[in-house]
Amino acid sequence: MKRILTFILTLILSAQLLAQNRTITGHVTDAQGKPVPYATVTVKGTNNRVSADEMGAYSIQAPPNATLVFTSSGFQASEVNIGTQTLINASMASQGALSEVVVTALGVRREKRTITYATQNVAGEALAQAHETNLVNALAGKVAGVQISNSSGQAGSSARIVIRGNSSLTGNNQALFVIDGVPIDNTNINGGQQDQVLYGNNGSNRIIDIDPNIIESVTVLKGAAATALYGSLANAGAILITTKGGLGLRGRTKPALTLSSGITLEDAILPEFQDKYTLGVSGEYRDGITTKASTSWGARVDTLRVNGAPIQIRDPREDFFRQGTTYNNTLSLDGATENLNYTFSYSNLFQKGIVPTNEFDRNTLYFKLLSKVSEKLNITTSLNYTNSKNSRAVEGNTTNSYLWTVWAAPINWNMNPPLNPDGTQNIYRTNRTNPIWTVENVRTNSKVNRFLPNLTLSYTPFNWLTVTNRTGADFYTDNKNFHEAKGSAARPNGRVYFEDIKSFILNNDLIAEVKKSAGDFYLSGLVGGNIYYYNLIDDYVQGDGLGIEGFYNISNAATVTSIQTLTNKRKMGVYAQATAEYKKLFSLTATARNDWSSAFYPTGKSSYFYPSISGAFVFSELIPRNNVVSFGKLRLSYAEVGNDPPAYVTQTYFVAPAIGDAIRGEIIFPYNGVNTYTLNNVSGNPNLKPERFKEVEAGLELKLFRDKVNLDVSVYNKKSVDLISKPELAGSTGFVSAYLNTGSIRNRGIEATVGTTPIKSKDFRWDLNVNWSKNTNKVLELSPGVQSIRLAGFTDPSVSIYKDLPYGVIFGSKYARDPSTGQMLIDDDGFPLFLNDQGPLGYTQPKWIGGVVNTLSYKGLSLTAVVDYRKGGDILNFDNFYLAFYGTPKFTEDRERQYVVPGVRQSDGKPNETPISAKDYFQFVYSGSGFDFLVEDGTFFKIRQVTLNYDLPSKLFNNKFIKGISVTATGRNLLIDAPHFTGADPEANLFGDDNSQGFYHFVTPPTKSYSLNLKLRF
Amino acid sequence: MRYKFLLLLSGVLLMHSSCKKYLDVNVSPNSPVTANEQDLLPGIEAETAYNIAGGMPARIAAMWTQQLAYNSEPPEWDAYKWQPSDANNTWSFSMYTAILNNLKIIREKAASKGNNHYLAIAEVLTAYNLGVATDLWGDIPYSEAFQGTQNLQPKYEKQEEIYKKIFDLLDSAIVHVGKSPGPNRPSGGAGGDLIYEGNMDNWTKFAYFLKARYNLRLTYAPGHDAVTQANLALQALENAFTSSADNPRFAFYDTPGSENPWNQAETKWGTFVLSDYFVNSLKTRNDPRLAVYAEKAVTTNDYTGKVNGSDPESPNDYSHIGSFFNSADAPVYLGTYTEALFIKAEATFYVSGAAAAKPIFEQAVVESMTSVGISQTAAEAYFTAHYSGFSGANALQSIMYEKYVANYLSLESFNDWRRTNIPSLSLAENAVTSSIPQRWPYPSSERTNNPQPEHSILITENVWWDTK
Repeated sequence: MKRILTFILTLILSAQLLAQNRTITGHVTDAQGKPVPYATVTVKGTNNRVSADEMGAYSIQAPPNATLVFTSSGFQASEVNIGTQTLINASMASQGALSEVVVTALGVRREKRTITYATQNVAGEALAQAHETNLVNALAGKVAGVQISNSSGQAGSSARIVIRGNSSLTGNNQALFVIDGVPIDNTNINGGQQDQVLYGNNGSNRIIDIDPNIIESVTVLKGAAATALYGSLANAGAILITTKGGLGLRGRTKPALTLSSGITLEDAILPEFQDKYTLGVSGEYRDGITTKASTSWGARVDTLRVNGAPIQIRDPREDFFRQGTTYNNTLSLDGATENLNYTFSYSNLFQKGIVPTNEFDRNTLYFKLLSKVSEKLNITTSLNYTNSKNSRAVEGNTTNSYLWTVWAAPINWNMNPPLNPDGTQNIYRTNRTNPIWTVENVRTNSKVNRFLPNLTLSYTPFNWLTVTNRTGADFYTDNKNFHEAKGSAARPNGRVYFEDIKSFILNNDLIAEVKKSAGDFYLSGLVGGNIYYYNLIDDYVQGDGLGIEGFYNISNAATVTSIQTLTNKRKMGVYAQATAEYKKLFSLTATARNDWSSAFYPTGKSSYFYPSISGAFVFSELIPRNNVVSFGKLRLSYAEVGNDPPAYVTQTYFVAPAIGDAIRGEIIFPYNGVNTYTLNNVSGNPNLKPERFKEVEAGLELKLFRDKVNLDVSVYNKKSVDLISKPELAGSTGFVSAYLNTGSIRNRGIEATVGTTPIKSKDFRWDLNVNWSKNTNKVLELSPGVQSIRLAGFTDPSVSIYKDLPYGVIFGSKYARDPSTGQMLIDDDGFPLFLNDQGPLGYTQPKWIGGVVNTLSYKGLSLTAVVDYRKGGDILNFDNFYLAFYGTPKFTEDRERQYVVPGVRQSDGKPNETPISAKDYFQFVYSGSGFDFLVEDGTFFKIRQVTLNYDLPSKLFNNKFIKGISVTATGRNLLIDAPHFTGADPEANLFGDDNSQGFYHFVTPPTKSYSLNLKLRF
Repeated sequence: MRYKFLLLLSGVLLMHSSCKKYLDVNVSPNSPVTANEQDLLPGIEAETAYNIAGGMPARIAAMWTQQLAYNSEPPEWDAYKWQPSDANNTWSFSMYTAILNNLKIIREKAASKGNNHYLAIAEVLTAYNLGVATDLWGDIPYSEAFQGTQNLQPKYEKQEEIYKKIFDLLDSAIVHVGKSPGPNRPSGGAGGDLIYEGNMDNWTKFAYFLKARYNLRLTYAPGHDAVTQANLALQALENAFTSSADNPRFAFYDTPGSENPWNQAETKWGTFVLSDYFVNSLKTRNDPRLAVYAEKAVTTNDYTGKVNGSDPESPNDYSHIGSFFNSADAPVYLGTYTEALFIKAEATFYVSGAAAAKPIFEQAVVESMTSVGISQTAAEAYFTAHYSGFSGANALQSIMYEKYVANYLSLESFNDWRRTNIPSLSLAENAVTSSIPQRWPYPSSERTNNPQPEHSILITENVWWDTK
C-alpha cells in the first residue's frame, strides 16, 4: 500500500513537474498590435492566473496542450491552445462600448453605456508623448469643448484649461483636477502681491507639479450633471486623473522595471522684424553708444555709410535667445503579488528655457500600493511628492521686462557684453537696462515641495454594499524670492522680496454605495459626506534699497515691509446619488448635494442645496442588429451647482494702504516709524448669496458601421446666476469696487467628437479622431450701477466684462466712428478723430475650436499627429503699441511710402483719401490715442505634436533581461500659423492662466521643440 | 429605547454645534475691522502730499502752465493728452477713497467721541482736498457720495455748492480747534499727524489760509464781487501763516519708499524736464530762482527747456527740476507763507490799489526767493530791477506773474492761470485739443458706472468760477 501510494505520488508529482516544466511567455496585444496592459492570463480550468505587465508581456507556467484564457476589461475574452509552443502572442478584440468602464465623480466607476452625460477619455500615454512640462498643455487639441491656452514660452509657465466657456465672472473658471478621487489644487499664486501688468511675476498653475508619466488615463467631465456630486469645486468641469497601478488587483505579476530617458531641444518661435532701418529718429542714424534713441526710425542700412563704411547689422533676437534643452528621465517599478499591487516611480525633468537664466527642475516621487487585506477590505495608499525649482525672468509692462529691449532692439546694436567697461549699461536708449543684464539681475525664483498623500479604505461587507472612506491631502510650500539688483531701471536702489506660501488642503469623503439587481432593473445608489479644509499661509517680506551689491538678503535692505496673509476656508457637504437602469435600455440618475461653507460667516446663511437629474436611452436596443448602427444612445440632463464666495469678503476691513502714483513711485508704510491703515477700497458685503450654475445638456452617441465610426455630440445651455464678483464702482461711492452678487452669464454650445478607423488590416491601421466645439457666451446682466468688471490690464485698455457682451472684452480708448456705418472718422489732415471714446475693441472668446488626432500604425510603428485650430478670439497685441512706435516690427518696414487711414472724412462723409507719412501712421495712428489697430484676430492653426513611436519587435531582443524597447521622437509646435496676428503666439497671455485672456504684452515667445525618448522595460 | 433616543439627540446636537464651530472661521486674521483716528491719519496725509499736492494734479498743472515739459513721444500729457482713464487714479484711488472716505470715517468717529482736534484736522484736510477736486473737475459728487453699495450712482453737485461746503468745513474746523481735544488728541509720530505733529495753532492758521485762498478763488465767480472776496481773504489772512515756519509741510526722506514724489518721478521715470517757456522767461528776466528751480542741461551746460509737446530728445539735452524741489528728502507743501503774501498783495490791490499793494508784493517776491535760499540782497535787487514802475496798470499782471513763478510745481499756478489768464500761454506743439484745457476730464470709472449729464463737458470748457 505504501509503495502504491508512493508510486501514485511520484506519478502526480512528475506529471506536475512535467506540466510546470514549461514556461509560456508572450505578449498580449489588441487588434492593432498595441499592448493590452495588465491583461489577465489564466490556464483554463485552473486557478493558475497571472497578469501581464504594462507592455502586455506575461509569463506563466502551464502544461502542454493547456488552453490559456486572456481577459481584460474592454476586450472580448480569447482562448489559445498552447500545444507544444512556449511563445504565445495573443491578440484580443475590442468589445466596443459594451463594457467600457469610465470613472465618474467621486471616483465611482460606471459602465459607459449607462452614463447620462458627456465624458471623454485620454490615455496617459498620449499625454506623456506630448512632451509638455505642464500637464494642462498636453491635453491641447485632444478633447472637445476644452480650451487650453499656454501663457508664455518660459520654462515653468502656467496654462489655462476651460471647459464649455467661462461661466463665472471673476471666480474660478478652470476645470477641477482630481487625482484618484481627491481634488487637488491648481491655483496660481503670483509672487510679489503686485499687479501683473506692471510687475509681471507670473508663476505657474500647480498642476505643473504632476508628472504626466504617472498617469494611466484621464477622464474629462464636462457638464454640471457630471460634476454635481463634487459640488462647488467643480463648477467649471473636472479632469479626473487615474494614476498607474490602481485599476484593481491584477494578480501575481513579476516586478518590472521601466527606464525612460529623453532629451528635448527647443527654439523660440519669433515674430517678424524689419532689418532695413537703424536706430534713430526721422531717418537720422544713431549708433546707440554715443547717440541714443528708443526708436528704429533711423537711416536705411543699404545706403548708410558711417565714416565712409557700411555698418554691421545684427539680429538682436538671435543674440538674446538661446536653444532650450530638456532632460527627462523616469524610472519606475511595478508588479503585483496575489493580494498587492505596487507601483513606484521617480522622475526628473530639467528644462533650460530659451531665455537665459530661465530654468525649471522637477523631481517627482510616486508610489502606490493597492492591497487586499481581506475578502472584504481593500486599502489603497499612495503618495506623490514633487520638488520643483523655477527661475524666471520678469515679463510685462515694467522697465524690468527683458522683452522691452529685445523686441525693440535696433539692428545696429550689439547687446554683448551687457555692461560697458566703465560699468555702465550697454543699452541703445535711456531709462532701460540691457536685456541680458536684466534677466541675470532681475529674477523670480520659486521652490516648491508638494505632498499628495491618499488613503482609501474600501469595505464590502455584502456584495450589494461598499463603504469607502477616502482621505486625501494636498500640502505644498512655495518659497518664492525675487531680486532686483541695484541699478535696475525700475528701482535704481534695488529690491528683494521673499514670499513663503504654505497651502494645506484636506479632503475627506465617506461614501456608501449600494447596488442591486431586481428582475429587469438594476439599481445603484450612494450617500456620502465630505469635509473640506483649506488653509493658506502667505508670508511676504519685501526689502527696498539694497546695500551691498549682489547680496540678496532681507538684512541688506534699507526699508523692510512685510505682509502676513492667512486664509482659512472650510466646507462640509452631504450628497446622494440614485441610478436606475432598465434592461440596458434606460438609465436614470438623480443627485442631490447640500453644502455648508465658512465663507458666508459670520452673518450670512451658510447652507445651500443643489440637485441634478439625468437620463439615457439606448435606442439601439430597440432596433434589429444591422450593419449601420451598432450602438445608439440619447442623453438628457439638468443640473445645478452652487458655489460660495471667497473667504473674508462679508465685511469691509482696514488694510495697509498702497500709495503709489500708478507710474513707478510709491510710499511705503511704516513710514519713518509710523504705521497706518486705510479702509479697504474693496467693499465687503454681508448679504452675499451662493452663486448658481444651471445647465441643460443633451447628447447623442452613435457607433456606426460595425464600430468603425464613433460619434458623440453634446449640446448644452448653461446659465450662471447670482455670480459673485467685485465689479468696479464709481469712485464717488467711496470704493473702487465691491463684492456683489452681480450678474449672470449664459454659455450655449455644441461639441462633437468623431472617431473613425478608415483603414484596418492585420498590420496596418489608421485612426482618426476629430473633435470640434463651439461655445457662445453672453453676460446677461450685471447689477444696476455696475457696467463693467475689469479683469486685468491697464485702466485703459483692459480685459473686462461688459453687460450684453461675451466674457472677456478688450475695452479701451477708441477712435471716433460713424455711428451708422462703424467706419472710422478721419479729419481733413488724414488722421483719425479721437474724442475720448471708450468702448469694446475686441472679443477674446474664440468662435470655435477643433482638433484632429491622427494615428497611423504599422506593426510596432506608429505615427501620431495632433493639430488644432482656433477660429477667432481677438487679442490685444499691446506690444505693437510700443513696437509700431519704435519701428522694429516687419510691418513697419515699408515706410518710404504714405498710408491712408481707412475711414470716412468727418467733414464731408466721403472716403478718406488723404495720405499721411509712414512715421505718422505708425507712431501717431497705429500707436495713438485709440487702440483700434492693436486688436488682432487670434485665429490659428497649430501642428501641436507629431510623434513617431517604434516598439521594437520582441524577437529583436528576445532575452530574459529586456522585455520591451520603444523609441519615440516627438516634434512640438512644428507650425503655428496665425494669419492675422503679428505677435509670436496668439495663445500667449501676460496674465498667464488668469481669467483675463487675450492680453499679449511682452510675454516670452513660444517654442518649437524636438524630443527623442528611449524607453526600456526590464 | 428612550436612552438610545436621548443619546442620538445629544449626538445630533453636538454635531450641529461642532459644525458651526468648524465653519465659523470667516473673520480675517489679516486685517482689523476697526481703526482709530491716529491709525488712519498718516495714510491720508501721505496720500494727500504724495498723490495730490506732489502727485498727478501738480504734475499736470506744471505742464499745462508750461513750467515743465514731458520728454517722451508726443502727444503726451504736456500736449493735453489727458484722458478719462488717466484721471481715474486720482479720483478713484486717491481722492474719493483713500482720502475723502477715510477723512469721513475720522470725522464721524471723532465727532461721536468728542475728539475735537482730530475732527478739526479731518475737516481742514477735507476742505483742502475737496477744493482740489472741485477745481480740477468743477461739479462733483459730495452729499450723496461715500455710501458704498447703498448708493452706487451719487448725483453731482454744483461747484458753487461745493465751495459753500468747503467754507462750512473750515469754519467748523476753527470752532472745533477751540474746544477741548477730547479723550484722544492728535500728536506727531504714532499720534498720526505727520504734517503738524498735533500743533493745533498751526492747523488753525492753515484753516484761515485756506479760507483766504478759496475766497480769492471766487473773485470773478458769477454773483461774486472781487472787492468783497478780497476783503474776506484779507480778513482770513490775519489769522493765517506768519512765517514759512507755519507752512503745512509733509516731510519725505532719503529712504526707499519715503522719497519725495518729484524725486521718485525723476529717478524712476525721468521724463519731466523744464519747459522752454518757463526757462526763457526766467532767463530773460535774470531771475535768480532759475538756478534753484532747475539744473543745467548736461549737453548744453546751460538752462535749457523743452518746447511743450515737441519731439523727445535725450534727457541730457534738457534742464531737470532743481534739487531744492527734487531731492529725495525735499518736503511737499500744501500751502506756503509765500502764497499767503501773494494772496494778500492781490487782495490789497483790489481793495486799496497798487500803491498799497506794492510793499506787500515786494515782501511776497522777496519771501519767495529767500524761502528757497536766495539772499535778501539778490531778491531785493531783482524786485527793484523789474518793479520800480509798478502801477495800477501793470499791478495784476505783475503780481500774478510773480505768483506763477513763486508757485513753481504747485497746483495753484494752474488755478491762478485759469482765474486770471496770467501769464499768457500759447498752445503746445502737437496739441490734441484746440486750446489749453481748463479742467480735467471726469474719470472713466464715473463715466462707465455712474453716467451723469456733467460728463459731456469738454476739458476746454471753463469751470464755474473761471469767467475769464
